[in-house]
Amino acid sequence: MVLFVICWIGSGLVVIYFFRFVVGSRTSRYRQKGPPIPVVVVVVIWPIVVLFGICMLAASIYTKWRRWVLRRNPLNWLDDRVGRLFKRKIHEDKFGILYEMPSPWGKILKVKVKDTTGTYWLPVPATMTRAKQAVAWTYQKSEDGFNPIRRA
Amino acid sequence: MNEQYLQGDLMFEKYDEINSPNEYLRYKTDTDGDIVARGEKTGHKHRLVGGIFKLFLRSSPPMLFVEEDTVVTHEQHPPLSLEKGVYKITRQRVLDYDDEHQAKIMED
Repeated sequence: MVLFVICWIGSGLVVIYFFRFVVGSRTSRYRQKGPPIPVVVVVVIWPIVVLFGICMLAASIYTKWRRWVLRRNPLNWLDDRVGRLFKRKIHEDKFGILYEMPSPWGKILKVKVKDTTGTYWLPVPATMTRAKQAVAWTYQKSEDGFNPIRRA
Repeated sequence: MNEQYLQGDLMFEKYDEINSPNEYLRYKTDTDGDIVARGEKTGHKHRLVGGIFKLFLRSSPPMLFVEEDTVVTHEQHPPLSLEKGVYKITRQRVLDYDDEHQAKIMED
């Protein structure tokens, strides 16, 4: 149910309430028409809210947009770092360390790999049980078929 | 077992003989330069330097025919020398939890 409308009255936008639904006391000067809306709300905040809404709606429909939004979600970074604090080691060998990350949405496994350029956390399927198996999966190989003779 | 060489997110798997050479012949007139892979985030490149080679990235799987020893260079990784032979190129992948648990190419 719409309880108010927004109109241009006099020198600016105001909120007009119906059903004597007013903000403020009974003697408030905004009792009948409601408070004036600041220009910054109209010019800055409303367009942002509307654009954000349209983008989220579109992102819920289009897979590519959804992927784009999810990948740039800053909460992912936080989730990643917090997850590392409570990780559980599953298996370790010369190829890396397989960890289970805490998650309310299901089993998440990541293998920690040390490279010449740094340390990488690679998400792998939840069916992995050994570090070598997980690293081999990232190179599309089976555990037995993965035996690199040189690593640069 | 075929010899496997790793450089970062790339794996070169050497084949002494390929099963169906005709499959790759059609690509031989249209090679893909000397850049094997380019990092999406850093812009760093796995580049072939020296030697004689033919790189076919658009074939499935991507293949590298080395006719004379060549070296794979990278801004961050040590150089990787490859002897004469046929190599299958594999890029490292990771699981994408944001995309219904599909595998995706690792972003370097």
